[in-house]
Amino acid sequence: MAKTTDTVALNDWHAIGCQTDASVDKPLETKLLGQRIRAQRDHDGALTVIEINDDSTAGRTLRVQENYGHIWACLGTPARELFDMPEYNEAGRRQVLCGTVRVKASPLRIVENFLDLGHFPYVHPGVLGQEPQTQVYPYQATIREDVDEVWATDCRFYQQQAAMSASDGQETQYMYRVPAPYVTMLYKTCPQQVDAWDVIGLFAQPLEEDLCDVHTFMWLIDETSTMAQLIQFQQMIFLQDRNILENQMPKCMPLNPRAEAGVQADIMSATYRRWLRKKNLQYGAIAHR
Amino acid sequence: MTAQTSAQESRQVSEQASETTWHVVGLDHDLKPGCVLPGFTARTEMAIWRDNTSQVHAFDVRCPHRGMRLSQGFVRNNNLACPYHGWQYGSDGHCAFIPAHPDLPPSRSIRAGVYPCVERYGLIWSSDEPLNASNTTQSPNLQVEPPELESIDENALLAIRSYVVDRPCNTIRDALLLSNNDFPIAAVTSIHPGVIALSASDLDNAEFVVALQTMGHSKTGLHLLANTTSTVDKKLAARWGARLRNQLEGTLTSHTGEQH
Repeated sequence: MAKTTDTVALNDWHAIGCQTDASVDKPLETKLLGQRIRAQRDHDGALTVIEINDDSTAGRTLRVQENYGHIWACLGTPARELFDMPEYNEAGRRQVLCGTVRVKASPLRIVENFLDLGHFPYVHPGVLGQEPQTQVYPYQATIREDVDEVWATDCRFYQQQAAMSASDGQETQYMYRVPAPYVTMLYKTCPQQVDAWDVIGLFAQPLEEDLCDVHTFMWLIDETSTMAQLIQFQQMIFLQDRNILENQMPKCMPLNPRAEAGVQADIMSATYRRWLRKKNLQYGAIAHR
Repeated sequence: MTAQTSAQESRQVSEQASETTWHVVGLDHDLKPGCVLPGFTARTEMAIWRDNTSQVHAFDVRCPHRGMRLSQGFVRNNNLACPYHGWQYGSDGHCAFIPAHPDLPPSRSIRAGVYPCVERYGLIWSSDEPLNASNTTQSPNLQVEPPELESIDENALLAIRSYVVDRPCNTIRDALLLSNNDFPIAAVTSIHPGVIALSASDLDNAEFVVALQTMGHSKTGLHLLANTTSTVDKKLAARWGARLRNQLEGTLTSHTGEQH
């Protein structure tokens, strides 16, 4: 598949791997928006990302930066700066990169699933939810025009084991943030510290419209769990999601508001889809004409 | 109900009945009450499920909410439930329960696609033509005429096993019907577009009914039933079916004419 012509996607920053995925000895070969690319470091550690042509020759050099533990590339001309995520550098937080999972799904379906409270008792039973506590209580979802992001606040859900560090069931508070079409994160009640929020999120790297490498991360307040335990917990959750994501039809996400039914619990998803329509983002979507 | 609407309805029923093209989607003994199976025809992917009263149903595979495959769902409260958010659909396809809002009745506009689905001859049959939303409480499956297999005694059939053959359906049908001693079969008769009666020349001429099911463009479901008027051991029959499947795959080319 060739590189997309979707200028909204082309002119945005996208994660293409962890910072440690590209070394002097071993370049990172991957794809972004249908375009083959290669990331390579020189002996000073400086990073170069190039397009690889169909005949495997080296193509043009891309804009690149490193942040949040990951490599970010732009295939076009960046329409804006990489979003700000101050929690990454906040004192007292552990930076946990949970690994990359390949998912045969649209990046938009992946982000939308992350924004979803109603699936907890069915996809993550006994961990993030459990019947009969299935109700999704009213919350707020808005497009914040000042920063051009989607936010949802006042979310809450009863959970059996909200995090690795949780010992009991609790009503967990959530906030959700979508700073870019293929990036999302949440802030949830920290089981170990009152008035603090754990941050969990994902960077979806679309290789194709219906194929992604999903880079997951947590910026946590957790002094006790081992790194392996934290990563394993998050991977267990995400692999439960993957089975759903790979079985949704159609693969690309329909932006026509009438294409798929929604209820009040889905206002986050409805707001996300409205924001994508407004941006005219097409890659991974079925456009609404 | 007035006489006129009754006449209209019966005309609609007979029109629909005359248009129903039945496809085999499985063996009925493979689907227990409260269970769900994936179903395929040439054009459609379905969720085939059996409710707690043993009625079978064929739904369009897509959940109207987020497009999740309902064939991976489960039966709850005698409804088909989606594995993603637990939305439940009744036998008429209408959404009956949304767990995220347990106290709110779902909108009537939320409905899973429903296809005709009946059991006959030990087989589950469905059709590619979806049933219209119905306001009656009558089971949608009663709106259609069930399939008829001429010269087959339903009570004399014993379901043996289903097989998946990695060859296209029309290739297999033609091969069986035109078998030039390629396969150990005799007395081959087509009794329905997807159903063939034959006998096993290497198994004491045991009589079988073979129902073929198109699964996408490259695979075929082969459902084997024994005619119990001839004596046959079920295990030997199942092994004979496996041999036939291997012979079909060994003899026939896998070329499907797929466009890529």
